[in-house]
Amino acid sequence: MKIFSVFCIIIGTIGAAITASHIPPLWLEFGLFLIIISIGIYLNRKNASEKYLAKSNNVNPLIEFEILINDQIDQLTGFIKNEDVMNSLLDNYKIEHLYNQIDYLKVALINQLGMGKYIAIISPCARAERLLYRGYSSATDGYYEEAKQSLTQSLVFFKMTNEEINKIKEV
Amino acid sequence: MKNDRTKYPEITPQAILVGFTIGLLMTASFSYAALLLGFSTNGSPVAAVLGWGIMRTIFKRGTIVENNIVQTIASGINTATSGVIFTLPILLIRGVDFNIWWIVAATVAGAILGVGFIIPIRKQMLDIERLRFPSGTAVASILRSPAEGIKKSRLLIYGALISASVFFFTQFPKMGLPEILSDSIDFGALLNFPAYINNVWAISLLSLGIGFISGRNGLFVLAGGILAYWFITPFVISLGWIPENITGAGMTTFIHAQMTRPIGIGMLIGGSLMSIIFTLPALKATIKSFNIKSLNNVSSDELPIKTLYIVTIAAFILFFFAAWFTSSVSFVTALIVSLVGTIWLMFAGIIISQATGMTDWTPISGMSLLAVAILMMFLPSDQIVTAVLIGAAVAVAIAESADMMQDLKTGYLVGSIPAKQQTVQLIVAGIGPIVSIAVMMLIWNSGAIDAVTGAKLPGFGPGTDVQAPQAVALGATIDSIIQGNVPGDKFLAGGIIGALLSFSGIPGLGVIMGIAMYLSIKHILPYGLGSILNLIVVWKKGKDWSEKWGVPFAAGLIVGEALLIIMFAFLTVSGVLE
Repeated sequence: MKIFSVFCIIIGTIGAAITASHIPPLWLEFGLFLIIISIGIYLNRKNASEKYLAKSNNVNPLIEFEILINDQIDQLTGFIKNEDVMNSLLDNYKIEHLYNQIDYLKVALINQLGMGKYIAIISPCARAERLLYRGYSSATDGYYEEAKQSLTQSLVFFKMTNEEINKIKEV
Repeated sequence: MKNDRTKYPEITPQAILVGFTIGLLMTASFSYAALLLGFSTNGSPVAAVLGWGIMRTIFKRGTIVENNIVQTIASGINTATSGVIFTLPILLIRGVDFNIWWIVAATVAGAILGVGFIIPIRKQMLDIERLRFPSGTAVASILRSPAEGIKKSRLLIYGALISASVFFFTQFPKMGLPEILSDSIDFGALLNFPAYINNVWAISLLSLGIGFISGRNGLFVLAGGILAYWFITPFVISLGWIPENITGAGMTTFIHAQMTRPIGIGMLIGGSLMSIIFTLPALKATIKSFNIKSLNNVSSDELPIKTLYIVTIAAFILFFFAAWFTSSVSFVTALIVSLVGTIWLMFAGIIISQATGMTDWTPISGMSLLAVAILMMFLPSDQIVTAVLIGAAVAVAIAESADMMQDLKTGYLVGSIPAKQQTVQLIVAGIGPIVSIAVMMLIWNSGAIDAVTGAKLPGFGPGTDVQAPQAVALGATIDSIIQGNVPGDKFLAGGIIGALLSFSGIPGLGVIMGIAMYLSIKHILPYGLGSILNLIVVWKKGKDWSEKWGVPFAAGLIVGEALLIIMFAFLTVSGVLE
């Protein structure tokens, strides 16, 4: 199914682009190829949705996201409490991980929650992420007061993200 | 361990001075290079490296966010170059009368509007859509790497050295030396392909590096390029769909100009339009969020939304007066043209930002051509000054929008405050067009005296050493528009394909493939290879490893070649190289 749907999209796109290139475009043939693209898209989306449903029996993107956020909250709380906050942050925090994980979950979250709820959780999360990066940059530069302040603010926004997740879960 | 310091420096006099100086130098050299060769390049990676070097060696300072301000200012000034040089020279070449001050005013207004317009878009594209902006990601990697340990710095330096060396060897003929490495390889010729199947690869590690950072999206760029050059072109030629009087190399030029390019632009616009519709809730939520003054005692770090309204109204008024005073059009026509120009500018700003965010390519010339084409529909055919003037303002604005988004992506990844970046770019954006126009006028007036007639010869244009190719192409397009030869049906068909592909479940598929069909395949192929390398690295080593070690190396590849491009532009401007 997956291969056939991708095949339809590819063949349809090539055919539509070629028939559109004729002067004037071959509108009838162009229309037929658009139908082939549409069939491919329909099958592809259906397949993706079935795959998503099957996967969601085992894994829930919102829960995965919640685990990620809680992990950030735990790590940040630990860094802030630690006497040697900045060395602890710079030595132990994997700066690429959070960004990659949110990217990885993005589409699944939109599919699961819809755009409105996704925005509700991603907006404070993005702010928290940016403040975390500011904390990391200022710690790298040796500005520890700024780093501590940024991490504290980041924590506030991660907690706010968590609240939004809980609201969605309650509904 | 360093001592605690209280205030984390971001906007400082030193950062402003260094950013300003680098920006001016890059703008002057790139304005000339763009007139000569018809290209410009993203100055952010080079500004980041130069800025860091100057800040550390001369001023003995430079935090990560301070260096981010340096590159924001430098690229904010430099980015106007292409908008000016790809459009305005045609007015001089055609000998059209115009008031230079209105041109300056309109392009400065365009530059400011381009930055102001991006205020609500930042949140949507960076926070919500999380677009990649490969150059912005690379610059963040550059800014962080000196402080993030010797291993990453070494990787970046190795990448830069390899890339710079390769580019240097390809430039031997320009230095009067025998060629030892060509700047491109024609695999088609090596494999005895017919001449119309273009399989020329640019020897560009910069393109490879950008492709690597783009990741999976690079594959769809490659697919778009292959569709245009390896499917449509051979099919059209073998089916005899080209007018009989067009033969030889003219066939591929015709197909690109009349078929693949307009279809590609159509796909780009259709795809973007659908993306805008899909993301309307996000945009609405973004604008709504500006009304929240502060959250849990943490104040907003965005510029207020009223900045956008003020900038839009001011730019519209300037466009109106520029349109009214530079031509003999009526009050109503000037009003319509300035309104259409402002609306198109906003729409094109979103399209360009999206395309840049997904692929790193900014199709400025295509969007400017469309701006001129749309404006010509509302103007008498002899009023090209107004069309070119607003077209130039649109081109400058969309270049600023794309650059601002790249810089804000960098800022996101290093933790800069968006309002600070937006403020400095709003302040400096207007400088770029002024410098670029000054360089253009200087070169125009530097033409020699004809030995026979004693007449003053033009400084650039056909028949001179400085061809101004993009502006000449714009002139040809204007002629086509006046003669009614715009391939509107191709734009429409491309728009339908682009819009339909947006439903595929692959974000931005129509936009990405459209932009690839519009570009030259020479750079798409190494870009696509970079993307494939990324997928292999992610598959073998994982995403985190690729980000940690692959991105700094790829950023080095970008910096090395970009630095040499700028160095060669300087040498050309100063007359050392031909």
